[in-house]
Amino acid sequence: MSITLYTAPDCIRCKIVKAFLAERNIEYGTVDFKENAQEFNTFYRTNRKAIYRNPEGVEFPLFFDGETVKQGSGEIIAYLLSGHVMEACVTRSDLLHGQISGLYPSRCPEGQEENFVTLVDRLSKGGLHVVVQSDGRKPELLKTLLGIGNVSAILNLAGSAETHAALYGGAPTKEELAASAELVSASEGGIVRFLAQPLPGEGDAKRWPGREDAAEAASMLAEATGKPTMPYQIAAVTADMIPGLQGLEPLPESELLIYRSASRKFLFKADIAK
Amino acid sequence: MGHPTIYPSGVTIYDPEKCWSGYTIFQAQEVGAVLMDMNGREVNVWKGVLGMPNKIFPGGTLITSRGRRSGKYSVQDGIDLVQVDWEGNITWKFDQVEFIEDAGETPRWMARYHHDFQREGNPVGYYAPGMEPRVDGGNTLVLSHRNVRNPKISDKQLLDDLIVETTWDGDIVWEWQCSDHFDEFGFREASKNALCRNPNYRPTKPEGMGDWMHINSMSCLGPNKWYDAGDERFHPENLIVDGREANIIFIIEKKTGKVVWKLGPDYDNSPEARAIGWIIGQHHAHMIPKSLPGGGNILVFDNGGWGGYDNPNPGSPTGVKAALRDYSRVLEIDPVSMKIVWQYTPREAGFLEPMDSNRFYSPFISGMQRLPNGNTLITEGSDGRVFEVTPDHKIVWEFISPYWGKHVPMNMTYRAYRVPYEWVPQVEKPVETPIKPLDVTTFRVPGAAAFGDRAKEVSVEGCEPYGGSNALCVASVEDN
Repeated sequence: MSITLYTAPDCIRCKIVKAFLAERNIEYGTVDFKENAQEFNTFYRTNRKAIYRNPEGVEFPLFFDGETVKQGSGEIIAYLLSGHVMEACVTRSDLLHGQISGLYPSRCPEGQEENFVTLVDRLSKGGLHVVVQSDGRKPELLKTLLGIGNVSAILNLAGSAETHAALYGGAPTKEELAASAELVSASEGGIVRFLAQPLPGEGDAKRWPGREDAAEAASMLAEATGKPTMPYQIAAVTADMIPGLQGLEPLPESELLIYRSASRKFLFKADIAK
Repeated sequence: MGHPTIYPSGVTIYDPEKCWSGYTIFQAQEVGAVLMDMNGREVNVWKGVLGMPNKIFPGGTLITSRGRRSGKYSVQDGIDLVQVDWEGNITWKFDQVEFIEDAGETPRWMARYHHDFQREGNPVGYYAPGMEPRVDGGNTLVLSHRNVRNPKISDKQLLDDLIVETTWDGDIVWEWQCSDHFDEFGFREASKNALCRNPNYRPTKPEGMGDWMHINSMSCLGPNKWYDAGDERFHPENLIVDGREANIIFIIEKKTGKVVWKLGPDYDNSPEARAIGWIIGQHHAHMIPKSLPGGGNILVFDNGGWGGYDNPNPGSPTGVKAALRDYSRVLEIDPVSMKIVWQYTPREAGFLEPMDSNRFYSPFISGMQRLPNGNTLITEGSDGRVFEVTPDHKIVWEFISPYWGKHVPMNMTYRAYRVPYEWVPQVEKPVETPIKPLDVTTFRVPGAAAFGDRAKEVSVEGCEPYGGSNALCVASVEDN
C-alpha cells in the first residue's frame, strides 16, 4: 500500500513524521495543502468524517495508506509502530503549536511500552513539549517517559477506583497511585488533579461528577500518598478537549467550588486550576 | 478628636421616649463581646472572642471569631467565624478557606475572615422587620483574604480581598476575588501609578504584602425599590462593598461578579460626585433594608482621615493615602440620583466648621445602623463612642466604651449593633432608666472648684463686645 502524507508548510509535526518514516525506511508521497490544493481538497472532501479540526483549523499532518486515515504526529507514529493497537492510549492532541498531548501511558497495552517510549522520544526529539496524562497505573512507564526530557506529566483522578475502572478500563493499586503521584509531583510542570469529565451514568447517559466523586478521588490519593498538603488541582474538561462533551451541558463553574470543598477534606491545598 | 484627660465612660445620655431601645452588642477591647442594655448593664459577656464585628442574631445567638492569625504573617486574618449560643457553646464553625502553615506555628485551617459576614435571611446583619437571619442553617457570606500576584496592579505580593459563600456544612459554593476586577474600578492613571509602586504595603513575613483595596464591609442589597422598579443593578442578591484604601464603594453583580454600580474612587469627575464630596477611608457602606426607614438608600461612614491613591501632594508625598480630611460624615445617599438625602456631620452635630469639626472624627473603623423608628445608631469607632441620633440629629443615647486595651491602648470599638429585646429571650426586658445629659459647665470631679466659684471679678473699661467666628485664624464656613 502506498502512503501519502498531507502536510502544511513549516509544520513541525509534519517534519517529525517525515523523520520517523525516513528512520524506518518507509516510502511515502507528500501532498502540501497549499501547493497541491486541489488534490488535498479532494482527499479532504472524501474523508471529511475522519478528519478533525482544532480551534485553528485542520491539524497536520494527515496520513493515508489506502485504508486508514490518521491525523496528527502522535497518532500517525503510533499507527506506524503498532497499527491500531495503541489507539486507546494515543489520541488527538488538544494542545497546539509547540506542545502535544493525547498520550496516556497508563492505558498502554501490555507489550507496547517500548513502542510508547519510542513514540514519546521521537516527539520530544522532534522539538515538541510532550504532555502525558496518567491515571496512576504503570508508574514504571511514566518514570521512563519523564526521563526522556522535554516531557511533563499530569496525573488525573476522576473519582473512586470503581469510577476509574469504568472510565479508563482499570484503576491503579494504592502503591501504583502513590508512585505515580510522587513522580508527577516531583517533575517540572507536573500536575496532580481531579479532572471532572463525563462519567458513565444511567444506561448510556453520561453525567458530570458529583461531590462524592471528588471526595473519593481526593481520599484515595491522600490515603495512598499520606501527604494531605500535596499540591492538587481541580479542573474540568471543556468542549475543546471533548467535542460535544458527550451530550452534556458545559459544567457550571460553581461545581468546581464544590469539588474543591470536597477535596479539601483530604487534600488541604486543593485549588481550582487557573 | 482631641480628648480631655478625664471624661466619663459608659452610657452618658439616654432618652427612652425617643430611642429605639434594645440591647447593644460591641467588642470590648481585649475582653470579648459585650451585650448591654440601654443603661449599660452588661447582660452577657462572651469572653475571649474577637468579633470584627460581633453580631447578635435571634435566640441570643452570637456570631463572632475566636482570634487572629499572627500579625507577623498577615493583616487582620480572623482564624474562624463561629456561631455561639448564650452559654458560649459553639453551634456552627467555618474556617476552611485556606490551610495555613506559618513558620513556627501549628498548621491549621483558617477562614482568614475579616471585617464582615452575612447570614442568609437578612441582607445586612442587623435587625429589620421581616428579615431574620437564620441560626439553624442557611448560607453565610464571609469576607476573607487571599494572597495573590497580579502584575497589572503591582509587582508586590497583594493581600487581596476574597468573598466566599459557604453552606451550613462548610462547602464554598461562590467566591469573588477583588483583583480579578481591577479594570472595573475606574482608577485613573495617577492612581494606578501610585498603587503600582506602593499597594498599601505591610511588612509581613516571609514576604511583605500590599493590602491594596482593604474592603471593610460586605452585605447583600436585599429586596429594594430600585430592583422592584426594574433596575437590574440592584438585584437583591447583589453585594455592596467598600474599599477604604481606594475610597470606592461598589456593587457586585452576584451572577457575573462584575461591578455594576460604583461611587469613587474619584469625586471630581461628575457633578453628582462633586456634590457628595470626597468620601475618604470609608466604612460600612450598605443599603438600608427595605423594611426600615430610608430603605434602598446607601448609608456610609465617611471617615475622613487618609485614603486613596492619586497624584503626590503635600499631604501625601508618594500619592498613597492621597486624600485627607480631619472629620467624619455619616451619609445617606440615594444610589440612583446620587444625592445625599440625609447626613450627620460636624454641622448637624452643632460644631463650628471647620475649626471644631474634628470633634466628630474617627479616622478608621466605625459604622452605622438604621433603626426602625428612623433613628441611626452611629459607631464613632476610634474613640469608642456609640450614639443614637434622631432624623433631626438630636443625640438620644450615647455610650463611651470603658474598655481600653493593653496591647492596643485605645478604647476603640469596631462596629456596634442594636438588637430588639425579643432577640434575647434569656433575660427579662430591663428597666429603662432615663439619663439626662450632664451640664458639663457645672459638673465637677471631687476636689475641683464649682463653676463660677470666683474670689473676685472686675470689669475693664473700653473693652469691645465679643465677636463671631471670623475673628479666628481660619475662615469658618459661615464666612463663605
